[in-house]
Amino acid sequence: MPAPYTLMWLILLLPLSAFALMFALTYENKRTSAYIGIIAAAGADIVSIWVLFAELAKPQHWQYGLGIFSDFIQYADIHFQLGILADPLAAMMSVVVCSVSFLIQVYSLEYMRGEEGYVRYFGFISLFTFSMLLLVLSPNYFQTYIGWELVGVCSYLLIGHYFKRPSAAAAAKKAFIVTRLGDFPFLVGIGYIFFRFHGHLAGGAADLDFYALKPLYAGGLVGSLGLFLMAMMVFSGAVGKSAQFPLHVWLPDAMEGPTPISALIHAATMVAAGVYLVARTYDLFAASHQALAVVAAIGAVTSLMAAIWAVAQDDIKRIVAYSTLSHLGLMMFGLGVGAYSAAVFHLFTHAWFKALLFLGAGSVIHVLHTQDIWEMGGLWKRMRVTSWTMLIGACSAAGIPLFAGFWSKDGIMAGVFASQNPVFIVVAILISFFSALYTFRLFFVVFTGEPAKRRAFDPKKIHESSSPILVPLVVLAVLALLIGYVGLPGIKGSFTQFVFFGRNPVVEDVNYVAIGASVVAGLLGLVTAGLFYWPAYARFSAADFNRRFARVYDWSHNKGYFDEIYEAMFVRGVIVNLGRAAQWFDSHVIDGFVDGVADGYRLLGDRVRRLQSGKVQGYAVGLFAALVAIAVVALIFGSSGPLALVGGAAR
Amino acid sequence: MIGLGHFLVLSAGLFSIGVYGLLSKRNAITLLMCVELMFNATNIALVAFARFGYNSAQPLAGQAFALFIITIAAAEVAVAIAILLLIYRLRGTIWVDEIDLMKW
Amino acid sequence: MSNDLLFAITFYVLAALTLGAGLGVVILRNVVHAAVSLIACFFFVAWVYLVLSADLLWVAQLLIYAGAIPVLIVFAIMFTRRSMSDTSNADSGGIGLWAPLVGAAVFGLLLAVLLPATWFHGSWPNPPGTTALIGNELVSKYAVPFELVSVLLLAALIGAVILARREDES
Repeated sequence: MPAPYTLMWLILLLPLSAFALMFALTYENKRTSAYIGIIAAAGADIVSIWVLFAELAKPQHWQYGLGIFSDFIQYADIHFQLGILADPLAAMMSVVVCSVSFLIQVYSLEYMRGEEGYVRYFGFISLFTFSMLLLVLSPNYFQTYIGWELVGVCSYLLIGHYFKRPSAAAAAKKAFIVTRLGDFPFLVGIGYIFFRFHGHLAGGAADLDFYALKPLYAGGLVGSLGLFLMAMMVFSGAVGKSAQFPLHVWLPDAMEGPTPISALIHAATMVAAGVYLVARTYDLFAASHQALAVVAAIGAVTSLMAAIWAVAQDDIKRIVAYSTLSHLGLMMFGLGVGAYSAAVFHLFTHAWFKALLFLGAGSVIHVLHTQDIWEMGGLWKRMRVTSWTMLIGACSAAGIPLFAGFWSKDGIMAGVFASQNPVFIVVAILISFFSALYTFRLFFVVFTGEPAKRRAFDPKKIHESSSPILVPLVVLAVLALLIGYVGLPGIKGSFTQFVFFGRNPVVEDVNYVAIGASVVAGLLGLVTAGLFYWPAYARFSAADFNRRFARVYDWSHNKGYFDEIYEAMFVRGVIVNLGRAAQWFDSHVIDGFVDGVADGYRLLGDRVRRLQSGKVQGYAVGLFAALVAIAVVALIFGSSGPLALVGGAAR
Repeated sequence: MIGLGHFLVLSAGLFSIGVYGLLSKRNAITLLMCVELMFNATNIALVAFARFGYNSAQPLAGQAFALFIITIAAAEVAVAIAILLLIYRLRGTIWVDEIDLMKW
Repeated sequence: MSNDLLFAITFYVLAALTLGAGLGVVILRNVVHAAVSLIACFFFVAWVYLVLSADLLWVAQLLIYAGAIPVLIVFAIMFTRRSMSDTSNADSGGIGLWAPLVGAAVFGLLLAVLLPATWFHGSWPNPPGTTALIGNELVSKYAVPFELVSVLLLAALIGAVILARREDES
């Protein structure tokens, strides 16, 4: 195995050691801890980039077990392994995770300065990085699930960073529980896959190994219904983690966490895990076209609804959160219609521009101390760097031609058009329109015009943020601008030839109709946003529009009332009652038992105490009674009983 | 026909009466008297065995034993009464249910 | 009446008297009365020894048990009275049913062992005169216990004196 591959274990070890070091040794020292985290992420990043270049030079697939974990569980013929997988997809994801982790940690040096729980924050980021890498570099379902759960825990810990705020604690809980709802079917699905394919894996591979399972899905071992169920169960994990409909409700609330966390977890990496999972196990989905249809449908629904909701939100982070939802849905949509390379490419570009958008929002929040877009405005002149980088991010997100997001989104559009499903095509076009609309609404409201009248902050005090915040923004902006060119369709050596499904990359023809439709829709969205929200050119008033279409506005603003529906159906009905039952059980049965034991002993002690009264006759009674009892026993059992012990003879 | 068993039952009965009295009476002197009853019951049994089980190897062993018991019982009564007097002097009472120092 | 019948009647009367006197020790309310009942019991026990042809023993019983010991007991009663009327022989509190129960249990136990025995209705062998025989035994076969008993008596004597003397005497 050539050089970078043998070092890949470092990618896992560095962040994990950073976490351990921070909590064990340098908890008191904020600066050192932060630097440890940053250096670890940088180190992992360097190895990842090295591996990526090795893969680019010659795409190959390596995997190996990690030392003693090669036989993590080995019993009878069951063999579970923890190891490293290296192939184009894994290398790409690993670079994304490490780089974004590195950038946001640098950003956090300034952003989180003076906040409480500083070291805890960096520690958990390192732990999260480790967990995400464990997931991404996993060669089998078993390790993926371990990483899956770990990132869920880290997400909980990081969303609830300001745990003293009730809303933050509630949001963390909600995130964990909702993703759990998806994780459990996923686990059942893993079990199902294990039982069906166990023993058929070629060449001594560990159980649940991805590459070993690839040829087996469509090989006739499992019928179409079984494959559909398997795929659906695996997909449910993805639905939870990537916040697809109907488990999307946790993502907007997750904005309670610090903004860099939103950038890391809920834009670039953790939520991408679901998409990654589907991509990694695509052979399974390809074997069941009903499953692919479901994936596409859910992706499309999620994407469109989230885009519509984003138009009516007022919190800058929420808008970006819904944007994430929409883009994730788009990725699933792409995977569902068969545009594998395009969807994965979009995952790649989305990581950069979404992180950029979040960090830019963070920069604004950091300076203005507000998250309400109506309290912002007129920042273009005063926060130059932030404004320019946010503009680039917005263009990329909206799919404006020549920016990174355009190239990747275009690939998905081509796939949707190729499916020739009219519903899908219409939905895709609508998604393009709304994406541009909400993205530029955000941009215009926040950056153009004059500073808002109502705010607690003196407009003259608005200034640009400092370098630890700006440098990552600039880096990400450059990427958001240029990285799309690695994915030019039809060109040899591009992304689609690097990460693809099947034996050979598909060299597609450029679908000008698809590109045209999506560009037109996007530009329409941009113009509409400008007409409503750019004060210099506004023709229409948003407030009037919202009044006239009040029902629609309300539905959008309230995110489709999903939270209220779930609350009424599940939380109040089921969970509260379960909680009450559990509480009753705890206080009556369990406490009753424990108290009962204590009471029993007390009573016993009370009774036994009376034996020692100090009165001789009491003792004498005991003596004689015991004598009689022993004699009776001896008589009953004769020479075979206790009497035999003392060598007595039968009477 | 009166046999060994009858005497032994008599002995058992007297012994049981002694046990009952020992366990239920308050006056220490009564306890002493009950102990004497038990001694006598035992003696009756021994003498009966000596009478009915006479053989030339161990002639009248039971009676000799009973004689010794009488002697020792006498000594024991003397010492017991001495102790009783001492207790009376120290505690002012010979009610055994008021002398409950044998605990803890 | 036949010899056997007469003998049986005698035995049962004697047994009743002995047991009755024993009961009297326990039942009578006045401890002096109880002591007298005890003396009566000792007399009857001596009579039992007579019936069993234990010549030396019935004499010794009368001398010691019906003679010396009651004296000691009466002295003890006298010395441990708080007042002239303090002669109660009451039951002690808190024992309740335990005492008769255990007593009955002991009796039952003994009966359970005795009644099924084969020698219950035994025959009466013909012993020689006992006194000389016992005397012989005492100084030959049981010489060591005999000497030990005398040591014991000495110890008891000294012990009783030491225990019971008054502290302010020299």
